[in-house]
Parts: sequence; C-alpha cells; structure tokens
Amino acid sequence: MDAFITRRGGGGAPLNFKITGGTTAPENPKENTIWVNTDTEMTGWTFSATEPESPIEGMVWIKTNNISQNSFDALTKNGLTVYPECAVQYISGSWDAKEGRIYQAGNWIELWGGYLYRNGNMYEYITGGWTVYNSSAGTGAIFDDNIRISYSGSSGRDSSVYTNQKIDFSKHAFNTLYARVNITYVGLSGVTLGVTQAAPSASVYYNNCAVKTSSKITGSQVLSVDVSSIRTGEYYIALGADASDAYIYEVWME
Amino acid sequence: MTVYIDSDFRCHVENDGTMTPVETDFFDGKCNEWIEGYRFVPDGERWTREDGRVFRGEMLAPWKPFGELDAAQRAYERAQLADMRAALELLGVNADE
Repeated sequence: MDAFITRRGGGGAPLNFKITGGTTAPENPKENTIWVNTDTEMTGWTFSATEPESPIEGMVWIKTNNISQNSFDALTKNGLTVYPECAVQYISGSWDAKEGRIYQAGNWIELWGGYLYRNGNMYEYITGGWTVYNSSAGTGAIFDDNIRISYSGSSGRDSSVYTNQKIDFSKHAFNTLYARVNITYVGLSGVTLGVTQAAPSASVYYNNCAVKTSSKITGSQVLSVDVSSIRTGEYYIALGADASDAYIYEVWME
Repeated sequence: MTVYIDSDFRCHVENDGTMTPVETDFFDGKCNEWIEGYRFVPDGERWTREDGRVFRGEMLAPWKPFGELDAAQRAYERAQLADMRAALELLGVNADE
C-alpha cells in the first residue's frame, strides 16, 4: 500500500517524502516517510488544510496547519514547506482518524489531530488508554463504544475516567478541550471535564484541576473548556460524575 | 472563599465596587497571583473568547499563562513553608521531629 511519487524530467523537483499505509511501520524508512496505521487499502492521498471535495473510498487526507512541529520540505529543490497535523482516511462515507507517524531525524514522531477518545477508540498511542475510577457506590464502566460514569447508592457517589498517561501540552497548540456526552442524571456538582496534574481519583470536581468545566444539565451536549493558556507541562484529561450519571462518546481538542 | 469577577469573568481578590462576588473552594490555598490569573464563569453564564468560541459556565480556566501561575504558587508555598519553619524554630521546636 505504498504511494511513492517522483516526478522525473521536465524540470520538476523530486518529492522529498513518502506516504505509506499498513498495520506495521516500514523498516528502514527514509526521512519524512509518513506511515498511516490502517488495514484499509490506501487508494490515494492528499495534503490539505481543508476537507477534500469528492473523496474516494480509501483516500488518506493528511491535514495540514501552519504550526506543526514536524514540518518538512515537500520537494528536494525550491522547498515547499508542509506542516502535517494528522492523518484521516475516507472509509464508508466518513473520515476516520488514523494513527499517523512521520520519520524524522531517526525517530518515528506521532501526528496527532487532537482526538483522545471516540466511540470506543481510545487513541492509546496518545492516551495510553482510559481507566475508570469508582468510589464505593460508583458504577462507571468502559463499553465497546462509550464510557459510563455513574453511581448507585447513598454515599461514595463519585465515578470518573482518566487518561492513563499525561498529555504533553507543550507539543501542541490546541485551544479548546471538548467532550460529547449524554448526561442522564444530575446530582450535586454534576459532570465535570477537567485537566489535571493530580493523580487520578474517583472525583474530578474536587481533584485540584488546572482547568475544568461542569454541567448540571441533562441530555446530549458538548462540554467545552478553554485550554489556550496551557502551553507547558503534562496533564491527565478526565471526566467525573458527582452523584450523577453520564455516557461519554468523544473527547478531543482543537 | 469569596472572589470577585469582573465583566470578563476575570477573578480578583478585592472588589473595586463594580464586580460580582462568587463563592468557590477552587482557590483554597492559592496565592493572589494564581487567583487573579483565572477566569470563573458561573453556572448559567456564558463567556465568548476572542476567536468567537462560546463557553458555558461553570468553567474555571486560566487566562494568564498557566506556567507563570504555577511558578507563583510554588514560590508562595515555599515561602509559607519557610515561615512555618521559622516560627517553629522560634518556639524551640525542631521542625524535622
């Protein structure tokens, strides 16, 4: 599933990168090789800051911005600088986020578009996975396509879920943290989305967060919190329910 | 504790007469520089960031670079610890006992 394109003759400059798909990272990669971890055949690729029109099944879109720390010159001469952000692939009518890595200076470096959790995909290469923490009456659990934080009892009613590893905020320039949830019951402090350096616990609301937002409204909604002033340090991302019940479907940053 | 928020939801430790008092334990133990580097959007309120994104309360987020606030808080805690040790020494108590 390689797509290595070199222009020959006509005065055009050869490409200074390669894009390859597959479930195993290529051995002995050249500088600026981009590997997209996918078991779906890659039928083509494009670099773009905006969504391609009329994509075909299997197309890989390398999203670009102007801040990526993994920029490279796309041409061997007369440099055309590309700032890759992340890789998505067009599968069954929608864009699927894929693990993407670029080989630079002897290392594979992840390309990340900001997703932390999506309908069962835990983005382990960023988060290390997610773990639920329950107090004595907490009944939170991880399911195939969502995470529940909830309780059943009269005391010890906290339930939370944390990323297993901290996210390094110095490597990215996201301004907002989001979570798409369905809050089915609200009690006490409701449901909280937080960013914290403190060790995981069943409570997020009381767990010394650097940033947090809480909702006491039931129903499907998107929680959002401003993280634009956090540009250094490593933090867990967490959601917690304080005598409340909620289902979590997506967590991401933009 | 009581903090005071201005029209942009920025926190202050003193009220200049135009601010709204809010009760929160989020800032318990925090120095003034930390507190005044934060924005507190109460439940039911909305704040619009410069880029147009709207955030619903309750939200607590720094508006100053968090690294600076963290450094100020650590310095504050070190100073408090030094004061406590000096007080114990004055009382003739070995702080390490």
